[in-house]
Amino acid sequence: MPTIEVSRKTLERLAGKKITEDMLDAVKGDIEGEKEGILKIEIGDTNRPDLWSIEGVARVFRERGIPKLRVKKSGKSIIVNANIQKIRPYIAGFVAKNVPMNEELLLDIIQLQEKISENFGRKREKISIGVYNYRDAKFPLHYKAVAPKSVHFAPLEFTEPLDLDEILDKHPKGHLYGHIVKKHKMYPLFTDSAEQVLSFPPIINSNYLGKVREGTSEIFIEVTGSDIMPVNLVVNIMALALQDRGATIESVNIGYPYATPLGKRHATPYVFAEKLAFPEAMVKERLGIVLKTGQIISLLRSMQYDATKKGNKIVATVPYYRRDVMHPFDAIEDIAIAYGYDKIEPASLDSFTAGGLAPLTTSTEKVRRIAIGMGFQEIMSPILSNAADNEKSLNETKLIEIDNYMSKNYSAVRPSIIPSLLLVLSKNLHVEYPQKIFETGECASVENDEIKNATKITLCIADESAGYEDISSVADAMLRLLGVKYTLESSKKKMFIDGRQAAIKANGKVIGAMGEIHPQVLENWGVDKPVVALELDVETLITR
Amino acid sequence: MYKLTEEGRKYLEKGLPEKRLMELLAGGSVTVEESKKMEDFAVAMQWAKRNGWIKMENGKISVGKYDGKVPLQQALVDVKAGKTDGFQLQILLSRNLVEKERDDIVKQAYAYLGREIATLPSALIKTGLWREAKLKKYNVAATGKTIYPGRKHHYAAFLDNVKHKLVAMGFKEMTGPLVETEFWNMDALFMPQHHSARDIHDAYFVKEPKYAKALDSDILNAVKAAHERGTKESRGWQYQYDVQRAHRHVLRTQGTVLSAKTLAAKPEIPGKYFAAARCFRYDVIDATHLADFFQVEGIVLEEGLTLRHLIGMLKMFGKEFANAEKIKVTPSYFPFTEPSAALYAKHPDMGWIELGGAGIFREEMLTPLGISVPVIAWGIGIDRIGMFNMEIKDIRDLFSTDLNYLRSMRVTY
Repeated sequence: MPTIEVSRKTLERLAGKKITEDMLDAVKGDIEGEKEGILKIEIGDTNRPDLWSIEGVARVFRERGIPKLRVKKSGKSIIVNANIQKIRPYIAGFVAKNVPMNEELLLDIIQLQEKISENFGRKREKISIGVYNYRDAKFPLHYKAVAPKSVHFAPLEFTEPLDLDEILDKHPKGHLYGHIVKKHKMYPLFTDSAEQVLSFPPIINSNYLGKVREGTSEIFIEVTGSDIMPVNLVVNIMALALQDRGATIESVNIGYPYATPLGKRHATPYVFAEKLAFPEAMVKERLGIVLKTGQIISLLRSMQYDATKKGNKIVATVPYYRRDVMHPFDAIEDIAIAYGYDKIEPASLDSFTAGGLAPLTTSTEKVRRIAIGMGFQEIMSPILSNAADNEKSLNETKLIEIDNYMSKNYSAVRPSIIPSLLLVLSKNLHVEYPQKIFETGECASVENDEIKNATKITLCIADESAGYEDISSVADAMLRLLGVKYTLESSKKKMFIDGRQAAIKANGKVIGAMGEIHPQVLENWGVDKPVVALELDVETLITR
Repeated sequence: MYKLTEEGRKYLEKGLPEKRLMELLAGGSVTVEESKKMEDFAVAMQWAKRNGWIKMENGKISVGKYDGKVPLQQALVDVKAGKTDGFQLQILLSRNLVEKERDDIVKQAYAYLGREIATLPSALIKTGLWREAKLKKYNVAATGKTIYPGRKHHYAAFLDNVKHKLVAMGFKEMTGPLVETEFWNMDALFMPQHHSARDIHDAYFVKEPKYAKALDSDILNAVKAAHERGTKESRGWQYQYDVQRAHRHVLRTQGTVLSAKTLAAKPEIPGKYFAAARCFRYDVIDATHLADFFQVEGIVLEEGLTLRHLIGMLKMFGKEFANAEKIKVTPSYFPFTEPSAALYAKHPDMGWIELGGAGIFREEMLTPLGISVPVIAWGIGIDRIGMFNMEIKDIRDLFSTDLNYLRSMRVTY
């Protein structure tokens, strides 16, 4: 969830009122902290980038109905080249003049730009935003694809010109975002009509044209991405934020050589006016509260919708800086938020339903009770494990490994609970023996290229005198009390000592294994007492 | 020393039952009916048969291999006379015709008298000589030896309690696998494939096998259509849905996946379901985060459910599970619910603590799964509540592997 830092003074000036924590319910926000006048607000809605800025939050407390975006025509254009269509096809932009650019506003713009491109823009994959010094660029601008070695320019914070491959190689942003373009032979480039580079979207701006400073009063903002609607949504959000801070907004014409859902030629910001029509009764159906027509319209307006009544329907227009409203229930939730959740009378559930535990849980509870009755201490280990623990245990099952693990310790799903319990024993060498421990839980492994999930119970005894008969008695007691008829067959697992291990079978199927843990395994784990272990598949033990 | 029992004395006098039966047969074969009239018939038959002395034919008993000798009868005489013969004595003992003389126990018992004794021996109890014994007085204020009984893990016990509470509230338990597909874990919850809504669920992806072999094609197509074009009332996310990606294996990130599967499998209406599921998120491990954690999740299906019922249920949960005096419900966001809500409880030291989230499932999620009644969905961060209830500060202690700690933990549940 995005967290933004805003000046309380500026926020209250823009909102036109004092802001208390309770009020932030309206933006699904929580105050995470406040230091030297800077509020840290976590915005809970990951689908409303319009709220991820000081202007967006303030707007909710200030406006009724959809605030107007006043756009003049700049007459300037961006020309899109056909060769970018398969790479990063869409672009939109606008000019902001009379920007009262000081350090605070510059930081606010950068913050909004980063929150949107990181979260909403999926780390720039779907959306990236460039901010430029308007006066230095010679229009029309060109958006195109180029061969990586064919262009040289100095990226931000660099002085010497580099080609595009070198930028991916040397610039920190190239390391972070290079994978987005590397799958293509040609890379996106944004230049002016004098062939000066503005930026290499979505990686980095030029150090010359793409540098905005305090005091820059005329800026040009461009958004590129893979889908046209989100690209235009972000332009609308950025343009309104700048207008809220006192800038005047001018449109830019985009010319595509290919068809787009918004046509080949259009001006941006492109103000959408999505309408939702729903029967008034739907409000009561979803919220359980009765509201008069006037109240519904007023509550919608206080959440920046335009709303009217047509016949028995409410027609709500969604603000052009939101794309998350796709169903009448979305607007109805906003009605509830404006009304206040705390004012809604709770209701109880009246219908009778019969509860019950799942059969697997009932079986697991049974085997746990028997294990506890035999004097075993229950353990709860993480389900995530790693290949090394499995190898140390000489476990032969094929592991499910995680592609994108964060910590090597937790890079695989455990195939058995035995390694988990060996880990516990290895960490308790100085604790009084005998150590009788057990665990029930989920395991998974790969069998014949398919994933096999299982719930197991595993019991271990570690003691100076622990031997095979100790665990075979435990197995017998467990299975006898569960009423499972079983047979034992000698087995050949590496984990156990040869000749001191058995496969446990019932109804012709293997339901578990037991034996004395091999001294090699004990040595690998640094456990210096003999250990015997029993593992059973709980699902095979389900009895009435 | 051995002596005859009461029964032994009787047989010494009257003769063993099998001996008497043979005497009866000496006059020729007898019908079973007839012989039943003799005393101790059952015992007589048992031993005469075992010795091979008789045979049975057409309901008649006649003499078999019998040489007229009954050594056991002589053994009774010998015991009476104070003589013992090993083999016959064992038979007499097993037939309770002879017993060990009490003198031995008495002798043993006397040995315990005249001094202070610790353990109370069985010889003293049997002979009644405990009346004369001197039992040592112990220092009863001394603490007993430490023992470590078998016991539940403290957090497992807490979770058992939560499950039983939910069952008492009328919820049926759902279970499911650890390894899921992106389809069930995300797509079926109307979370678009390339959207920030997935940022709150940074998942662990399985290396091999990367993809599940098959998904139910009817449900897959219905979910795909809802993502791409929406449903009757909704325009949907409007993007091109990637069917291959739907098959990608992930570790379950949220218990809601079980709710989605339950909804797709013709649930009861009205119905209540819950799951206490191990879930996995891409997260750094510290005092408040683990790589795997428990989530308790559930759904309520019923005609006419509204936000009022949702708020009512959350407030009840706050009281039941967190024992909180002050509870509040605020707006929240989940990609699969609308409206959505968060549940907070006031902690005496830490202020407002988020206990969980809830909402009414989106119509775009329910329609493809074939559900047309409102469904309330809720989830609670049960690990955190467990920590509060057991006064555990570091989440790693919930899953502690320190045996001393586990053995010494107070039994709360």
